[in-house]
Amino acid sequence: MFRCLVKWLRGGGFCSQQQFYWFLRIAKTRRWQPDDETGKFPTAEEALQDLKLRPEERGLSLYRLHREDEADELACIYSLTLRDNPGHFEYVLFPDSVLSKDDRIVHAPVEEHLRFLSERHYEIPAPAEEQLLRLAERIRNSPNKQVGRVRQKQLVDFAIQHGFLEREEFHNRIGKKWRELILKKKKFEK
Amino acid sequence: MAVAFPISSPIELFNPVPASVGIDPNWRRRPKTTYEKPDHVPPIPTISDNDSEELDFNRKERDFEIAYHALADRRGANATPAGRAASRKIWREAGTKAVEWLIDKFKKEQHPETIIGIAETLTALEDIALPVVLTELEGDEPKPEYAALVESLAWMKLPQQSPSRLRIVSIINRYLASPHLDCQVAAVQLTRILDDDQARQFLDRAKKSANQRLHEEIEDLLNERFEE
Repeated sequence: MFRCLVKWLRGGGFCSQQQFYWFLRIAKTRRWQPDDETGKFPTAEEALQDLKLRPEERGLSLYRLHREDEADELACIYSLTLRDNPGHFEYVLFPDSVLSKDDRIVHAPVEEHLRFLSERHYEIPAPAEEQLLRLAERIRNSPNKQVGRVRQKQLVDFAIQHGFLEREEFHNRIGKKWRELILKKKKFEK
Repeated sequence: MAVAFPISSPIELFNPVPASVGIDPNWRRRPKTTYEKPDHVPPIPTISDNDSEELDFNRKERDFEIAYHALADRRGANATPAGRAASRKIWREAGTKAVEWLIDKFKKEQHPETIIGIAETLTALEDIALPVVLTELEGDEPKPEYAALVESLAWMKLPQQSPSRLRIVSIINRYLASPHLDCQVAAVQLTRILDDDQARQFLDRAKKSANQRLHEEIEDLLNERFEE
């Protein structure tokens, strides 16, 4: 009994529980969930469109999150700093168990981005199309995947709540149209 | 105990080859080659206006392709709004041709971030892009794939007395009547470009027959615009 306890403590005790992560991919929700009108579930080939690399990309870009609820913060920071036209943020979130051994994932910080984004940015380097199709299939079939849409209104509310306009790191990073929306909303709230 | 070290090979001295080796000593005395003038000299081709246009077009096409790949790339200079605005210079300078080219690409594009990049660029081109986008939307049936194109108009600043206003109203009507939810949502978003009264009319009308998702969009817009 004592030996078992020592062994468990040496193994890290409660901390030994393996940390698992979530991966977020910016996507179109309609490619991952049943159609609102027809109820038809998109095929893996359709979902693959969201995983395909652009010609200048060298790896499949993913954001690694510790918790599912970090997705809202990521959506807000990404949209406000990297998109000029306000709009909804759509994504697909899946646990790391969905990745296979072939999906070698590496940390790929983007220095020019805010630390929150840069620290969480990962890539699967040079994936083959066949590999991406298999990944699309696994994400699509995963019961734990989450397909999310953070509405533009929620993004503005989140920015106000967390004082993005006042924070120095957001200085010169928030686009004009977002800024106008936030200021307008703040004015209404007064 | 004695340790035996391997005897290294003797150092090879640097022994360069003299510059004169391999050169014909009589090279200065050789007769000069003469060329006879041919009977017929073909005329030097001149670049016609058509060729120069083609060259110009090819160069533009290549520049567009390079700039197109940067549209969705949010790294480097494109990581800030000012940097993105600066990198759109090439599209602005090319004018209507650039807008047509972008719309052609838009029709085939599948990457979500590139679609957003095109829409943002068209919005930034405003007065150059507006007539071309309107013509494109008028010439085709409302399609869910065009939703981003419709929404790109929503963020343009339209002058109060713009003749395009009527065309936009007609597009909103057509997209609201579409059976596709994405088209209806895009139409609702496009009401941003209208004045308060006109926008409210559209939103109130659309709300009556809206499903949950569309209802949510309309509520958000009413809240944003009229704090309702």
